[in-house]
Amino acid sequence: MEAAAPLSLGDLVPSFYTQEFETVRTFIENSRTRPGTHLAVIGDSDSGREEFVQRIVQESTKTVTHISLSHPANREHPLAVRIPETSLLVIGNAHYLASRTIGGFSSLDEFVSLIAEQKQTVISSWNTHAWNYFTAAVNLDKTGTETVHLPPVPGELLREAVLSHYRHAVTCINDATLRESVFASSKPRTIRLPFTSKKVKIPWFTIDWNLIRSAFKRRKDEISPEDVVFSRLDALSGGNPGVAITLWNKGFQYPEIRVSRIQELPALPDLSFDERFILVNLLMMESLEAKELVRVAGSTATPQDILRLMNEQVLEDTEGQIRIPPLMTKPIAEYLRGLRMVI
Amino acid sequence: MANGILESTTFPLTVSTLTADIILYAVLIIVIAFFGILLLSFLLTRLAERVSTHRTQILMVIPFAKIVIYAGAIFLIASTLFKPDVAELIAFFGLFGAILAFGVKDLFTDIVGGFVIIIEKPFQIGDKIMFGGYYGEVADIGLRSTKIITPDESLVSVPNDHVFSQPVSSSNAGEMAMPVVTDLYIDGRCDAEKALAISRETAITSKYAALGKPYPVSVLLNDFPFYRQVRVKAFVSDIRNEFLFKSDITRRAWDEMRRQGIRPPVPGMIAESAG
Repeated sequence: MEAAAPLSLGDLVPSFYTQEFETVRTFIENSRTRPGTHLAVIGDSDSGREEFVQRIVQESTKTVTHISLSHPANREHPLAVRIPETSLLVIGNAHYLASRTIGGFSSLDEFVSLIAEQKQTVISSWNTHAWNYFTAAVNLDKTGTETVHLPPVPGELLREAVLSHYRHAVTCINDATLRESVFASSKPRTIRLPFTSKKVKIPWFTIDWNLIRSAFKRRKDEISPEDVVFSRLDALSGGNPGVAITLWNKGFQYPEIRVSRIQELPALPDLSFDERFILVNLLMMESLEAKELVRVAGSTATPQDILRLMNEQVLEDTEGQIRIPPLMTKPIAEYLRGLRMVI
Repeated sequence: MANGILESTTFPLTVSTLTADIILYAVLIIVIAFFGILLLSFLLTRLAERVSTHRTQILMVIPFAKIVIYAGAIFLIASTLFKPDVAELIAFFGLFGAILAFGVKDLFTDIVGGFVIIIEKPFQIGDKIMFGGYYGEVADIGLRSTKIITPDESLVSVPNDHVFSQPVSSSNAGEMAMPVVTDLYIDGRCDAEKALAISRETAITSKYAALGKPYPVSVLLNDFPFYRQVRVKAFVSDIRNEFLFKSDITRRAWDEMRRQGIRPPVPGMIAESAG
């Protein structure tokens, strides 16, 4: 059944970022008279950034060379960014051009030289955390680059895009009792007892303030199950469409979605400094093979640390690529930003 | 005295008969205040460790809470003992203050110094400071002294009156990040440009570094007759990692410098040049 097929981020991206698409189209149009400029598309992991770039490539009437990087550059394995000139060069996942190691910036330097020569129009896509890091570390934003930031998708837009994907009406069922928790959810959390090294698990409550606010705004009987479903999706995803769609696909059983089937935000365990640095690298690079993670994070990334983070569901291994699960990206980024480990 | 009224020509204070109940009450107040402060300090310190993003702000509450609890305890005991009206209370504390000022001058100046530290905030709990000739993290600001944990983990109590007579420097002024200066010395004949680039790259790739707008990284070169000094100034994301950050920069920078043929100064060469 066509309508029951899982939602695909690629299909929905055009409706999420209409204004950003216009900016890129204008940039490409202007490059006919002013070639040699550079545009950086910056977005979070799972925000649909690469799908966005793919769309640009598909609809471009210029001769395009599209390279999508999948492994980080380093001293031993630099990436060749100089390729036969075409009127438009598109580099996807450009954050792989450098790694946070001594000698890990040579490919990025070469890329900066390439855009400084202004011979070729370049569009590159970057992870937000990596872009912020490269901006702070090597002034990447001072290279005459035009930037397009993919913003969080408003809840209403997400709802419209998701529901319009299905031919028949989707039934939303609010089957979460107050105790089970639309408003508050609990997860066991490990704490260390004072004066001892003993650890105990206590229930840890997370409150969905958006739902509580909405409950005060209107009369309770006016909140429809659909409102509850999309409010929860919006709150959990923080406007990241990839995360929202992942949650939707996991919870949706055609033709209905139940509030109780929308996965809750897992609690963040206590993390050591080295574990935090592993997460910093994965936030920037989005996904790495284990050996790449060890190379980037150095002695910080021991197999034991990686394994523990996987057991705590802070990391996941997808076909040999280690990454932060989509749902965990936002809380981890906020946590590390508070510690000034990401910008 | 028998009817519990003490007549005085200067300060007619109403004094309660010193009964076992009153003594017990006073002792109880002191014990509650003491353990209350201990418990509050413990809870706030634990909370600060858990919510590490607002560590210094939470720890700042402790000295204020101590003063409030101690003042409350003194007030409760004094009001039970003397049952004063407002004029008597002012007179009593005036006399008490004068006795303190003359009799326990050093202690008094320490306490005044404690008040100055709490109100003026030249530093806060959790700051890295140089105070009274000692460098370290402020563990506690008491009424009489400030406790500092030095880099070798010694707990030093510095009398608060030092705040009037000696300069105080705070590296982070309440912030969690602080600038750290690391000096590297290289042979005067080596490629200084390369050394500067390596040093900068070491700082920006360190896991301990805080980067971004308020945290610039700067690398400076000083030329001396027989050697060159490369000074790296960068911000550490958590003041507690100050020395780990310094060590990380030194170790990784030297590994890379050796790899690229940059050597440390040779003492023999200095002697030879001098000769």
